Amino acid sequence: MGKIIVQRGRFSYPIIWGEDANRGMLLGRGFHCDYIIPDRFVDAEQVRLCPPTVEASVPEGALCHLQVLDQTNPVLINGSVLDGFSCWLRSGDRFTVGRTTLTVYSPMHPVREADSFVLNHWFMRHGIRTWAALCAILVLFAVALMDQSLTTYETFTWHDDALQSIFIPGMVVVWAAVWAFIGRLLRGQPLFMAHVVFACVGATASLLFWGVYDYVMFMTNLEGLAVVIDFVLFVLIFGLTLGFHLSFASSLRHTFVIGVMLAFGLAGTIGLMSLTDDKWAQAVDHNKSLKAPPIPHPSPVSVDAYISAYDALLQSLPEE
Amino acid sequence: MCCVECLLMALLVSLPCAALEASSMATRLFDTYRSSVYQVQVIDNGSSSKSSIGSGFLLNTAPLLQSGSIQEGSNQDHDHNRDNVIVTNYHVVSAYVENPDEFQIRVLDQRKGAIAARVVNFDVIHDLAILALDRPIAVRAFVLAQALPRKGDRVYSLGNPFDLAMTIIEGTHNGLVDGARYDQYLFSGSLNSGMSGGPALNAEGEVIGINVAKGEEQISFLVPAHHIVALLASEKALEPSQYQSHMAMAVKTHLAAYYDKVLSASWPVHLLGGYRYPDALNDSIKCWGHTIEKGKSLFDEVHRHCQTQDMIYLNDTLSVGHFSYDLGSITADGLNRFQFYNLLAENFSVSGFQYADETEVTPGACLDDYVQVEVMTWRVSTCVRQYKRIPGLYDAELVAQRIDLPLSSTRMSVSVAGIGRDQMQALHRRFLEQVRWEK
Repeated sequence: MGKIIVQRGRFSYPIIWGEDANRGMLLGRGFHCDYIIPDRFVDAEQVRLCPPTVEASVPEGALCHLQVLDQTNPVLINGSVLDGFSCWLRSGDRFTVGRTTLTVYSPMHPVREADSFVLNHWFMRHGIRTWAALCAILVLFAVALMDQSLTTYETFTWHDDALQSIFIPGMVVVWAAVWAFIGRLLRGQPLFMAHVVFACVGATASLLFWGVYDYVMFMTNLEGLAVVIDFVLFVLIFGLTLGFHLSFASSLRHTFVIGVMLAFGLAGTIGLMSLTDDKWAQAVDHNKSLKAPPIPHPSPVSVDAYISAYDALLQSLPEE
Repeated sequence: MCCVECLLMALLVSLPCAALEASSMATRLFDTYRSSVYQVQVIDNGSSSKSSIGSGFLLNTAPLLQSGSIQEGSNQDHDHNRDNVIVTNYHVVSAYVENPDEFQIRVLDQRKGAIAARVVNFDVIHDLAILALDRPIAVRAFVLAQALPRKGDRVYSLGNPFDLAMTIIEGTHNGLVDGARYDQYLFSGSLNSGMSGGPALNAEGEVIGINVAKGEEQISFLVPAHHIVALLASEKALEPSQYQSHMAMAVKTHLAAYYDKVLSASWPVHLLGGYRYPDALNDSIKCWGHTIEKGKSLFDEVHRHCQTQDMIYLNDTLSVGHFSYDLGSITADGLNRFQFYNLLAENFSVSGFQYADETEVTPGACLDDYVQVEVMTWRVSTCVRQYKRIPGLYDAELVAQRIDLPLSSTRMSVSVAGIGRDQMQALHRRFLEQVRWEK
C-alpha cells in the first residue's frame, strides 16, 4: 500500500492505494469517482492516477502514472499541454484539468519550516487576546486625544475633546466588526479581536505619521513633496491594514499585495475624481502655505511688482 | 367711561370701513385692468412647452410721446409701429435673450389667447425688458404715474403667481431701498414667483413700478417706473443678433462707472485691532463685525465684513456686481507657532467664486507671492477668471495675510464679481496700500 498527496488550493487530500492498486484512482466530476473535482469544465471521468507498480519501466523518481480519459479540454502538466494520453508525475508536479489545478506530492516531499510566530495565537496562548484589542483601542484613543490637543485652537476640555477623540476608535471598531462579519461569511471565523488590533494599529500609524508629516512640512517648506508623500503614506498604511484584514477574513494568497493594490487604486481614483471635479467646477484655490517668521521664504516683492504680475496672470487665462 | 365706550365704538366701526374701502379699491382696479396684464411665457422650441413664466403689462406710450419724454419712432418695431408695448422684467425673458434661436416668447391674455412677441429692448441693470407684439391689441393700456409715490401709499400689484391665476396684491409703498446701487422701491406686500414683470399701481391705477423680486415675508421689491421711460427713449429696436453685445456693453459700462466712483473717492478709515482698515467705501456698502475674545478660544480675533447688497442678474446661474471685503486681526498668545500658522492657513481663503457653468467663465488662475508693504510682510494670493460672454470682465479674489509677526496677524480679503482689468489692479493696489499698522 502506497500513498500520495493531492493538493488543491490550500487543501491537501491523501490518496491511499487500496488492495486493487492496478485499478488506480479515478478523478472527475462524477459522484462515483474516487476524487470528485467540482468543476464544470471537467468531465465525469477525467483522469486516472495509477501507482508505479502497474508499469514495467518506471522512470526514476516517478510518483504515479496519469492517464487521460477525456480529451474535451486538454490536460496541462506544469503549465504545458500534455502531448498524448498519459505521462509520469513526480512529487511536486502540477496538472490542470478544466479550471482546476492539482499538485501531487510524495509523503516524503520536503516541507518548508512553519512560520514561527502567529500574533493572534500568541495572544490566545497568553490569554490576552481581548486585552490586546482593548490596549490597541486605548493607544489609538490616546493618540487621537494628543492630536486633538495639538491641533485645537481652544482650551483643552476633557468632556469636549475626549468626546471628539473617541469618535476615531469608535469608527475603527465598527470597521473591524464589518471585517469580522466578512470573515464569518467567508471562512466561518470572525476573528473580531484580531481585526480590532490591526485596524487600531493602522489608524494609530496614520495619525502619528500625518502629525509628524504636517510638522516636518511646516518647518521645512517642502510643499512640492506634499502630494507624493500623502499618496505614498496612504497607500502603504491603508494597503497594509487592508492586507491584514484580508488575510484574516479570506483564503486569498498575497493579501498584502492585494491590499496595497486596492489602496493604490482607491487613492488614484480619489485623485482623479478631485482633478476632474476641479476642472468641472472651475474651482480655484489659494495657496495656503503660511510659515512662521523663522522659516525662510522668498524675499518679498513690492506692491508695484505684485500688481504688475497681473498682466501675466490674466494672459494665462485660457482662451475661448 | 362714556368717552372710552365712544372711542371703542368708533374704532370698531372705522376698522371694517377702512378694510372695506381698501378691498373695494383692489376690486375696482382688478376689474378695470385685468385684461391689460398678461402672462409672459418663454417657450422652448424643442419641446414646444413653456420654459419659464412671468407677467407683463400693456403700456400706453402715447402720453410719453405727447410730453416729449420719448421721441416718435424710438424703440419701435420696424414692422409694427404702434403706441402700445408690453413691459416685463429682463429676468423673465433672459433665456430668450441668451438663445433667441432656441426659445420664443408669447404672451397670454385673460382668455388664454396667445400672441407671439419679441424683445425690442432691455435694461439688464434695472431688470426691465420691452416686448413688441406681432399684432395690435385693443384693450385699455396702463399709463405711468406722473407723481412719485409717498411712503405709506397703498400699492396694488398684479401678476400671475405660480401660473395659478391672475391676482391682485395690496401692500404699502415704503420708498427707495437704502444704499441700493440699482433703484428699487421697497414694497411691503407678498410678491411671488410668476408675478415678476407685473405692474404695481397707485390708487388711480397708474403704474408706479414693476414687480421684480421678493425678500422675506411681506418684503418685496419694485423697479421704479421712470426707468421704463429711459428704456423707451432709446434710439431703435434691437435685433436678436445684437442682444449679447447690448447686454455685455451695459454690464461693463455700469460696473466701470461704479468702480470709477469707488476708486476716485477718498476712502474712510476704520480702526480695528491696532490696524487702520478701509471702512464702508460708499453708501452701497454695508459693514458688520464681530469679536472672538480669548475665553475658551486660545486667540483673540476682531473681524469686519463689508459688502454690497445687490447684484445684476444675467441668467439662472450667473449674477455679477457683487463686491465684498473682509478685514480682521488676530492675536494668539496661547498657541504655539505651529498651531498659530495652521490657524492662519485655515483662514487664508475667501468664500470662493460663485458657481458658474464652464460655458460662462474660464477656469480660474492664481498668483501667489510675498509682498512688502512698509514694515509689514504679507502673503498675498490673487485668483481671477474671465467671463466668456463679456470679454474684459473678470471675477477677482485677493486674500492677504500678514506673516512677519510670531503670534499676531491681520487678514484682508477682497472679492469682486465683474470688474475690468485696470480697475482690478487699481482696487487691489489700493487695498494693499491702505492698511496701516498702528503699533
